[in-house]
Amino acid sequence: MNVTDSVTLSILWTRLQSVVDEAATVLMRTAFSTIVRESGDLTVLLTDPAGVTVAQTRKGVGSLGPAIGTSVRAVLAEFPLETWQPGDVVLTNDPWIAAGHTGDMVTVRPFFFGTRCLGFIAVAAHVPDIGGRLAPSNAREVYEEGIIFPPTHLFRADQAVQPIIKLIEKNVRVPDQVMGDILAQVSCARQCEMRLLQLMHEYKLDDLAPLFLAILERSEQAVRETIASLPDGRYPAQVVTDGFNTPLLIKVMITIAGEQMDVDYAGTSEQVAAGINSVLNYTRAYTFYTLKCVLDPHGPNNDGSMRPVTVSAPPGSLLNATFPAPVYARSQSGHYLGSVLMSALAPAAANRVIACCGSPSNRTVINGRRPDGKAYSFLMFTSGGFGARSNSDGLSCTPFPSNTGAAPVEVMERETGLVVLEKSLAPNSGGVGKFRGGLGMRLRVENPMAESVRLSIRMDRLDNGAAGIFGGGDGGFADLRLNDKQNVISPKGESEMKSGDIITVVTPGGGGYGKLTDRDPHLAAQDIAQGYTTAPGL
Amino acid sequence: MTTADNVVNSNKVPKFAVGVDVGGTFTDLVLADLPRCELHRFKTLTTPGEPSRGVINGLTRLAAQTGIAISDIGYVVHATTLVTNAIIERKGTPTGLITTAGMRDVLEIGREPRYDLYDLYLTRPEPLVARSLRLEVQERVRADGSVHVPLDLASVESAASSLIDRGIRTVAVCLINSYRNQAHESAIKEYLATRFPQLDVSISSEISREAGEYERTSTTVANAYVRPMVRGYLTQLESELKQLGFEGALEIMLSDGGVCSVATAIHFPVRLIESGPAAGVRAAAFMAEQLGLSRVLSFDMGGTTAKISFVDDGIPASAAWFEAARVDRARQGSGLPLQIPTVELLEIGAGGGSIASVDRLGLLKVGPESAGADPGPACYGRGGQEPTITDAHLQLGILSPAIFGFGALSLDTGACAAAVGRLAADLRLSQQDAAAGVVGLVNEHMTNAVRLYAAERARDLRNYTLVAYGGAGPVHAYELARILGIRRLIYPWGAGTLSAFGLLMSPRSMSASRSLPVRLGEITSIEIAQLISALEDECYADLSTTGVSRDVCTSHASVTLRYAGQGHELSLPLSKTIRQDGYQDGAIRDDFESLYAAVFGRALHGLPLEAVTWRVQMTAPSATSGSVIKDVSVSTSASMERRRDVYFHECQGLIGSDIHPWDQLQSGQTFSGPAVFESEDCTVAVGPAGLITVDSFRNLVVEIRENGAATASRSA
Repeated sequence: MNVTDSVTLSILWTRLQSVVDEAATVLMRTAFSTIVRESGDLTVLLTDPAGVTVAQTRKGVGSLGPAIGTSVRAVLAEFPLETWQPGDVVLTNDPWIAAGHTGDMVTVRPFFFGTRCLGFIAVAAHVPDIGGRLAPSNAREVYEEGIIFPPTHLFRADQAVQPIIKLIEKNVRVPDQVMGDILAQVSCARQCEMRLLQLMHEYKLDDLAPLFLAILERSEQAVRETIASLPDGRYPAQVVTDGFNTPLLIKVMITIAGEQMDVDYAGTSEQVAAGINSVLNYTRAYTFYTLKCVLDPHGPNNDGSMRPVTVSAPPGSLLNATFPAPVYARSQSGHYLGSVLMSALAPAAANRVIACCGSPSNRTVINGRRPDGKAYSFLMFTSGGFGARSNSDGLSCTPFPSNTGAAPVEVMERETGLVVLEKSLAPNSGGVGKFRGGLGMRLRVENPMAESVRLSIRMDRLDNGAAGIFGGGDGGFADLRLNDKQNVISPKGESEMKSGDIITVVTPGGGGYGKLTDRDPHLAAQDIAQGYTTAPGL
Repeated sequence: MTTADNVVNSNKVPKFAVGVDVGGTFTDLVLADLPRCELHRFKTLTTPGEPSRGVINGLTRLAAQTGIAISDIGYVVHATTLVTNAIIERKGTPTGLITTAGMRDVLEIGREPRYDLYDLYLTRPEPLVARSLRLEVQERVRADGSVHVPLDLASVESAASSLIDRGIRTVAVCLINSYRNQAHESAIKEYLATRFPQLDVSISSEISREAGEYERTSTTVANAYVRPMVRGYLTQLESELKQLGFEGALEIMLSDGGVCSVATAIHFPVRLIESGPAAGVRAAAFMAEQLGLSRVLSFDMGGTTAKISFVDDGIPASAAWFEAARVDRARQGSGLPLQIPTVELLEIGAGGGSIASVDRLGLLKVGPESAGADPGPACYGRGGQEPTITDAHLQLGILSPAIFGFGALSLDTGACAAAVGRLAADLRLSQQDAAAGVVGLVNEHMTNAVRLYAAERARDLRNYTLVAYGGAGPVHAYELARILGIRRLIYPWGAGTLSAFGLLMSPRSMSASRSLPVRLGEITSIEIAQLISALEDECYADLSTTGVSRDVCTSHASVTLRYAGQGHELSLPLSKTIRQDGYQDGAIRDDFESLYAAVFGRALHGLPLEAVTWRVQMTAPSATSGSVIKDVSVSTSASMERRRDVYFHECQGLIGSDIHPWDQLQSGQTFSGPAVFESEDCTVAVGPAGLITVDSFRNLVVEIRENGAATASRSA
């Protein structure tokens, strides 16, 4: 059968996509971890025998995928292709080769046709616990962030390696749940293998290499054409983040030459002694994710489409942290990459980029006691405004590049005993422009209980708004107040809400696009009429 | 015949009953002659501007054709697209929202995550109520139901006056935590009824008493938005029917697969949103019962979408929410959430009108764009230039140009060949290979979606029988079954108008629910019994408006449960045993853990359980209950062809196939595939591996003799 004609290729490609999506669905259903089930913090992908990703699930967080492809190649460097047997499973959560922190476990399983290994199925998911100091952003070294597994056999020829299982169980707080979830990853990979063999049987194929090759080539070609359509040149940008105690700089130079694109983060601040560092693999993943949104949002998702792009960052920098730097809260830096890349690409791809988003999202853990005295821990994300687009205003309260949002007020109140006095759009928080940035959120929460509640907050952009582009204004700053006073509680640490205290959180708005003077008067009038802005030009 | 015979009540069966399903293009009617157990079908064009006219016209013509007086019809059941269209096209009545101080943006903030991970230019549906018409009142109820801030009626007065000044006459009221304590909402309703009687008021604790302020507000607002329109339409329809001499009962199909009175429909119009599709699934459930099938996969495919639903043990899978007016076709998260009881449908953006094209990678692509009904596929000859799935079927000999759409259309083979030809040239393939590719690819999309859906719900598709209907369902079903490893299919006679038939087979039903989140063990079994009994009373209050007595009503109770700390709930039916034993914690826990293990592979023993939402669905037999109905309608436009070459994927080529006029088949006849069965509203294609039997209801029952890819012709 000729798998490369336009019809057969389309059908088989659709099926491969479905195979990884089905496996991800099974994992989401069977995992205990709520962050896997409800936030979709997982990915499933299929690689060729060299570890090149051919298909990646559309379920879950898309940004993890590119990192996990690298994991397979790192695992292969440790255990070369010829050493694998059917039914082997290797796991790793080493931040430098897995997903950038210890909390994500990657499993790699080969799939065989007879005696030939045709490729690998890699599954990554957030584990319920990994030991250590419970995901602090103030760790000084990675050793505080939980146990690290370099690539290690969990199964050999379908036989579980008991010492490893015992080691895991001894090092985590909820061993049954953690082992259960890791085994769920393994059965999800088995399901994937079964479906692949079914497909080969159905279409009478004895090899998948020609199919993989055609998929990678077509994907690569499409992105090459898009890059070639952008003007050649060097496109610099930089963004300042709040940092841990002092501001940090993220700098990028994008070079477009013909069909190639190079992304270099030279000039970025050095790594810091706090868990907000990003390893290169995570930096690459979020770079690829943003570039895919800009260059090929509706296209396929595999390593072929990223072949024309190279990414580098100086070793020892915030974006290429070296061992043993702490990295658990790596999103605090990594989620800025979307902003800096959009700013850089704006002159080259005006109709594809958007202004900077009010990200990273605010992540708050609330710890307290229920009226019945039982302790609870409640995790909440709240988003800022989306950047304005070339044809429309930014969406309000929309996360990027992460994709999780707040629980309903009614659920939060029930779980925490707190009262949300206000959850509203923050007027005037969108950057001005021809198109306005999305609005941030204003949240006021009261502790009506006699007992105090502890908060663990990760928040950014209190000092740096999301940049506008093409003359658009910056989005509004984030704000954090206790009883209407600023600078009382730390945006990156632990704090306390006593009885009767009211905390106010405002998330940052998105940047504007184009000059305010070019704004359609009807849109401007609408903003005033609906109260998105309280006076012209705000 | 006296009029007394026609009065519907719980113990009298009317002589004649009519089901009317108003769809996008066609209005389908079926008339059941109950004493004779006979069925007549009729199709007429929908009149979008004035939908009641299409209903009245259809009914008048149906009566004339069958020689039955309208005054002899005792029962009319109606499904309508009025609600769904009003929300999609934004043609409802301008609506105001009254909500708790600090919360007016809940409706606009919605759920924060993006429904598409990569599209930076994605859009969201506009809220049904603009920000300036969302007003706040001073009041606050806490999560435990206690009052944090008492209701200030002066703030209600000022909000309502302000809305009225701006011309608003329908209002939604949704306050935070009102599902726990509805006192403030009820007080507002009462106040508005006295002070501003001209306002139409929908309050959330009546429309949807469930937790989740965004979803509940969205549901209440949608109810308020369509209510004046539905009230006007149903009132007018009732009076026009009366003028024609109709003295029986008019009842309306709900999304949950049951019917209700006009009064109930006007109270909860948002629950009508999926009334047509729900009727189709109800018909599939009826077939399952009639044929003794415990596992049925209902497959309905029309011009723009395909809908899939599981029917286990005769009961359609149900869901407690629905998403309306999706901005991005069939994309979850891109629409307006509604907390309503509904038949659970997997919607796939594929239909006869789906357009085939070549994408930027040079690959064949089908859908989600659709040529719809106008201009429709190229072969409709109404100016459509793009090749569609229907064109591909015509090209492959599966459809006949002579017989299509009740003779209302004859297909233009020239226009079809030209459109498919252009696609073939772009793909550098023969016309036949291009057309086969289009059908193959859309089947691949549909089977992939079904596999994912089954995986999410832990169902093994190989145990299911596929029931195929809708204009395009019967053409695709055989291939779908073959790819999914399903061995048996049923093609119901009258598959093209099955929803209208389903209307007559649906019980009366009403659902009520209430979120009361509580740890199991912290609520006594007596409290549970009281809660369930209160919900039953609520259901019966509505059911009684159809004239049924309480003793013929059956109630089904369920509760959503989860392990404390998880956000993901499972709906657990409260079994007869549990209910008889007085809702013992231990028994509920045991049932939950078995269900959890069945769905998730393992139970987590020892963790505390939390109950969230309690539900009751109450059903009562419909006016036609117990009737066995045989369809006697005869097609008038039988094809002359007896044999033609038809493309089947399992042969990868054309194969000479027998063509049978479906209406002339006799009970007990058997055929071997390849074979095509034609009727005026749909075509069934069965490949070489199929063995076909005609049952006593003229349904086609097909067994597929081999598993997976049948390769008979190639290995021969």
